[in-house]
Amino acid sequence: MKRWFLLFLGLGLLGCAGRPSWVMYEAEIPPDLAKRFVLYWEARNRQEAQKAWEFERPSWRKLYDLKRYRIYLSIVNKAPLLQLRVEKARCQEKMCCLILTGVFDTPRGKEEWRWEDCWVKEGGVWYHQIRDSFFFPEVRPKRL
Amino acid sequence: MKKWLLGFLCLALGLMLTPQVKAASVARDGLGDVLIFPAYYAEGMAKSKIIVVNTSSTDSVVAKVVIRRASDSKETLDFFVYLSPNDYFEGEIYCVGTTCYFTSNDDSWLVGNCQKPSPPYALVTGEPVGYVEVIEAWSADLEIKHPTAKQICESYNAWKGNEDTTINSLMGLMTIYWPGEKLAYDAVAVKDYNNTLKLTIATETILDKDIIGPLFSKGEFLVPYDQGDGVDLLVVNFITRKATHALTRYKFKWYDTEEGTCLPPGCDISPCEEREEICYPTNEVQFISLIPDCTSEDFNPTKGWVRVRLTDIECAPKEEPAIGLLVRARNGQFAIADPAWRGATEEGGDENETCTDPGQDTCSTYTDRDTCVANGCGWAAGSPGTCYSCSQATTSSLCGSLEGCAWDDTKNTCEPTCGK
Repeated sequence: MKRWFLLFLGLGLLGCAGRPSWVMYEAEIPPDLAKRFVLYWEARNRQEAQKAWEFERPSWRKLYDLKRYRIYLSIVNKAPLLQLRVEKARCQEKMCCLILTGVFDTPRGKEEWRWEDCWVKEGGVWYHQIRDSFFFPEVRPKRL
Repeated sequence: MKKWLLGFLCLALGLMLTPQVKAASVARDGLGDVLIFPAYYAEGMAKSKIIVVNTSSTDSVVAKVVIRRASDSKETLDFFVYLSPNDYFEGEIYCVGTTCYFTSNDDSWLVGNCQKPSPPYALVTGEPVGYVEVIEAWSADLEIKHPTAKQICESYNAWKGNEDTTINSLMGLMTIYWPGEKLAYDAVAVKDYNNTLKLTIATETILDKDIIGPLFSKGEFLVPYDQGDGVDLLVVNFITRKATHALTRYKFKWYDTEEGTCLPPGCDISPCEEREEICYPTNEVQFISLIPDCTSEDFNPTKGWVRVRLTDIECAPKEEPAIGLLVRARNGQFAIADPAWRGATEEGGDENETCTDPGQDTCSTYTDRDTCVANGCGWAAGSPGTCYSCSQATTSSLCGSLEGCAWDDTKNTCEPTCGK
């Protein structure tokens, strides 16, 4: 009996590990995206730039460098993210844009922010798509 | 009577008899009747907060706020704020996905027939990058203690227009912020724009480029860069350009810390017989990253300085009205500064620097002839002499009596020469 109970408990905990308590879903997203989504935002929240960088779209990574990305995280993710809620999801086969609401621990207290977060599927893998022309201005065309 | 004394008396008499309509100028004290916020930014997690203050202790002010998008200056939202004496207005621009909004809980904001608004309001075809103009429409001492926005609105609605009632009492601040960090800059204030029109929502309000343009005319921005420990960004707003923005380009001249410069593409040995310069198109609000894009074995700096040169569509140096902001991100923090600039110059030289009239407020602060003339003002000899803005002289004879000024027959105006 005890063995069955422990096995059941272990399986239950394993299931819960896929969905950390600080991420809530009000919309369904593809399971393979959900896993990478959580890992990505965990890395960003800890300002683990190298780790988060690997989740960014490869073609985008060729245009910029990790140093700039590190500076970006140091400012944009300066305030700890306490909770993340996937409010809406607009997903197609290779693109998924989510409306997120995050609760941040800011110098002004806990604040709620809402923004769009998009992912694209390349080579069967979901990658994050950054859109920030302040830190990553358009790459200048070589010729007019 | 000595000639100089006669000349001075004639000038003084002329100036006294001529109505003193002040020419518009960039307000060094940050207070004006037009405010320009060169850029707002609301992409991703960023939001932009705009603050407008009426610093007058006696007059209520009505100001029209116009939000424009970066790509082509198309107006995306406009509204009026009704500011009582010493009043403060605050509102926010933010985007969720592809839709951008303006919102505010401030009671100075009224819409329609002096009604409370129902925010948020979507910016029509708005973009996450753009800019904001604030134009003072009207001001008056209503002689009411703490007038409400509705009272100010009703008084403004009753006004027929065609009269300059404006005062230079507006100041502004823009804050671009993320959850844990922010970047703030003061609005660029223009004094004595002197709007006389009855501004409405129905009719688009466009700043007069003949008044505003000369105040901000620039040929190039001169900016240090240092990619070693941070990110540098030059933000340029081509104010007043609006629909003609497609005709402007920009190009770079990069220098390292040892006066070295990179050779243009297609040239390996200096001097180059054939040069192909690369010019880049611009938006109305252009974010320019300061990363050298001209590198070779001998030129691969992480720091130095750069000339960001404005050009026409043929890549020839050309002046444009432009406002620049230099943003630096270092060690998790921002700093913002006004970049250095100068007029259009030929390659490597500083000939053809433009001479602009800084306005009477500035000219009146100069007390010696050389400084007065060198800074675009006119010197009236005397004991003591006096420094005037050339624009104060409304006839060619008055203009001729000011050293450092010359009469322009085509424009019928008195123009500074800067001693050249």
